[in-house]
Amino acid sequence: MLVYGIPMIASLGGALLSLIPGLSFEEAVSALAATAASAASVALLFLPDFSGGFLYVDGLSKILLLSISLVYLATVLYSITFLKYIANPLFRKRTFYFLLDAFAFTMLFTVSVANLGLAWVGIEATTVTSALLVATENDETAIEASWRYVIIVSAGLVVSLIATIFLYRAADTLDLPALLRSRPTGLALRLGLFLGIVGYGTKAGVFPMNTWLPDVHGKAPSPVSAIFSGVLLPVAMYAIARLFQIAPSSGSGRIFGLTLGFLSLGTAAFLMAAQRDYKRLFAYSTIENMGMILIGLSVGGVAAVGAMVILVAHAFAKSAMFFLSGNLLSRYGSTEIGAVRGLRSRMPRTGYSLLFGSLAITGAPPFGIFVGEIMIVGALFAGGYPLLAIGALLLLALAFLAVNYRVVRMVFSPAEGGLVERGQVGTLVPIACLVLSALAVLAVPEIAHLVRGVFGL
Amino acid sequence: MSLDQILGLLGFFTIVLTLFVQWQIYVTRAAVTFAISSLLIAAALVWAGIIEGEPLVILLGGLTGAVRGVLIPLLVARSLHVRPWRARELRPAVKTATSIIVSLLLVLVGFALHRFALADIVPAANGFLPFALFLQGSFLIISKRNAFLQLIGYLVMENAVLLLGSLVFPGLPLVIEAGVVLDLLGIVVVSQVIMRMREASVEEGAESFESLKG
Repeated sequence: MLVYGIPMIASLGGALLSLIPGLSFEEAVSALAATAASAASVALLFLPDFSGGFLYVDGLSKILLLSISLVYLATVLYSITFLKYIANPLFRKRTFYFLLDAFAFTMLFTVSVANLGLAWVGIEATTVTSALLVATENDETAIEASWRYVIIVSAGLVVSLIATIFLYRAADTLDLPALLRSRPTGLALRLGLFLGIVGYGTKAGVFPMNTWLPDVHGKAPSPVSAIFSGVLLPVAMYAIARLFQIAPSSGSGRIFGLTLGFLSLGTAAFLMAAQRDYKRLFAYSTIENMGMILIGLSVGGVAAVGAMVILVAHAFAKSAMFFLSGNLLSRYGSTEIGAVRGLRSRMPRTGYSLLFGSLAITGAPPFGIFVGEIMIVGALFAGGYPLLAIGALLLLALAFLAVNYRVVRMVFSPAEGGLVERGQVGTLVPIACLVLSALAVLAVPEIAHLVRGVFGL
Repeated sequence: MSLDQILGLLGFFTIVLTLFVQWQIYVTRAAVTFAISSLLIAAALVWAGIIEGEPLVILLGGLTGAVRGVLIPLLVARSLHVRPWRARELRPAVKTATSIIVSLLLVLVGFALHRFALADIVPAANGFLPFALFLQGSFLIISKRNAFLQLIGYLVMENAVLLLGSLVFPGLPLVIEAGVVLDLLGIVVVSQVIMRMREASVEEGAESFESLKG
C-alpha cells in the first residue's frame, strides 16, 4: 500500500522540510521530493490497481499522478533559475517552495483518495495552497488576480460540495469503490452530476465560470502558470471524469457537459483571436483544451480516451509554453505580443521551442493533442452529432490560426538587438516537457489500456 | 421539537440575518451578524445531536461554533482593526434598496426551486432554506465590491451547505465535515493575507486594470 502513497508522502515531506528555519536547502529538498514523486508515479504504471484504506489508485489516477509529478518536477527545476527575475517577491524563497510542494501534495492527494468527499476537500485545498503563489510577484494586478481566483473558485467549489451532498443522498456513501459498485440512479444523482460539472468546471476554467483563469495565468509567475495550466485544471477534470464514471448512463448530464465543453471551446477560440498578451493567449488556449476534454468525457467511450490523451499531452506542452513565456518575460520585460520581436535570432532555443509548443497545443499533427482531438471529433460524428463535430473542427481551426499566427510573428519578425537567450535550465526544462508531450502520441495505446475500465470500453 | 422544526426556526433567523447583512455597508456589523448566524447553526446542531443521541453531530456543532462563530469573525475583525478606514462599502455594485428587493426575491426563488424541482429528494418541509441561503450568499458576492463583504458572502454560501449537509441530509461522515471546516479556515486565512495587500494597494472595484481585461 505504501508505494501508492509515495507521491503524496514525498511532496508533503518536501513541504515540511522546506519550512525548517535557518536551513537553505529548500530548492534541493523540493527537487528531491518531486523526483521521488515522479519515480514512484512511473513505477505505479507497472503495478496493479489498488483499492484499500483511504486510497483508490486505478488507471485514471495513475495517469494523473504521473502528469502531476512530472510537471511538479519541471516546475521546481524551472523555478530554481526563474525566481531571481521576480524583483519584489511577496515572500521568501523558502515559503515559495513550501507552498509549491504543498500545492503538489493537495493535487496528488485528490487523485489518490477513495472518497469523493475527501477529493472535494483536496481540490478546495489546492485553492488554499496556490492562492498566494499567484500573488508571488506582489504587484497590484497579481494581487487582484489572486483575489478573483480565491472568491470565484471557492464559490464554484461550494456548488460542487452541494453536488457531493446530493451524491451522498443518492447512494448513502461517498466511498468511490462502493459508488462504482452500486451505480446509483435517480434525481439526486443527476443533480449531483449537473452541479458537479458546474462546480468542478469552475476550477477547470469551463465556460461560463472561466473568468478567473486568464487573469491568474496572465499575472502569476510563469512556473505557477505552468503548473496551474498543466495539471491543476486537469485535477478538476479528474473529478468530473469520476462523476461520469459513477453515472455512465446519465444522458442529460452528458448533454449538459457537452454543451458547456462546446461553449468553452467557442468562447476561447473567439477570444484568442483578440489577444494582445501572450500569457493570456495561452490561458485561453487552456480553456480551449479543457473544453475539448470536457466534450470527450461527456461523449464517453473512445472520445473519453481522446480526452485523456489530450490531458497528458496538454500537461507537458502547456507547461512548456508557460515556462517559455517566463523566458520571454525575463528578457523582453513585457507580456505584450507586439513587444516580442525576432526570437529566431535573439532567443533561438526559446523561439523554436515556442513554435513547436504552439503547434503542439493547437493540435497540429503528429502531436498527442491532434490524436486526442481526432478521437473526439470522430466519436462526435459516429455518435450522431455531425454538426457539433463540424463546429468543433471550425473552432479548432480558428484557435490554431489565432495562436500560431501570433507565435510565428514573435519568432520570425525582424530582430532588434543581440542574442539574449536564457541559460541551460531555462531552456532545457521546457524542451524536455515538449519532448514528453510529443512522446504522448506513442503512449496512446497505453493510455487507452489504463482507462479502458474507467470509461467502459 | 422535531429536526424539521429546528431547521425552520433556524433557517428563518439565518435568512433574516443575511438580509440584514445585505443592506449593511459596515463590514464589522456584517461580520458580527455572520457570527450570530453561525452560532445559531452551531446551537441547532448541538440541539439536534442531543435529541437524536448523536455525539458526532454535537461535536460538529462545537466545531462549527468555534470556527465559524468565533474564529473566522475574529480574524475578519483583526484585519479590519489594522485598516479601519477600509471597513465599509463605498460604492456597492448594486444599490442597497435594489439589493434588498433582489434578496427577498431570491428567497422566493429558493422556495420555488425546492417546491417544484427538489421536493422529491429534499422532503423536509423547510428544505428550501439552504437553497434560499445559498442564493443570498451568491448575491452578496455579486452585489458587493468590498472584499470582506464578498468573503462573508462566500461564508454564507458555506453555511447554506452546512445546513443542507447536516440538518437536511444528516449523516455525512465527520471526517469530510472536518475537512470542509479546515479548508474553510484555510481560505479565510489566505483571504486575510490577500485582502490586506489588496486593500493597501488596490482601488475598490479594481476597474482600472487594463491587463485584466479581454
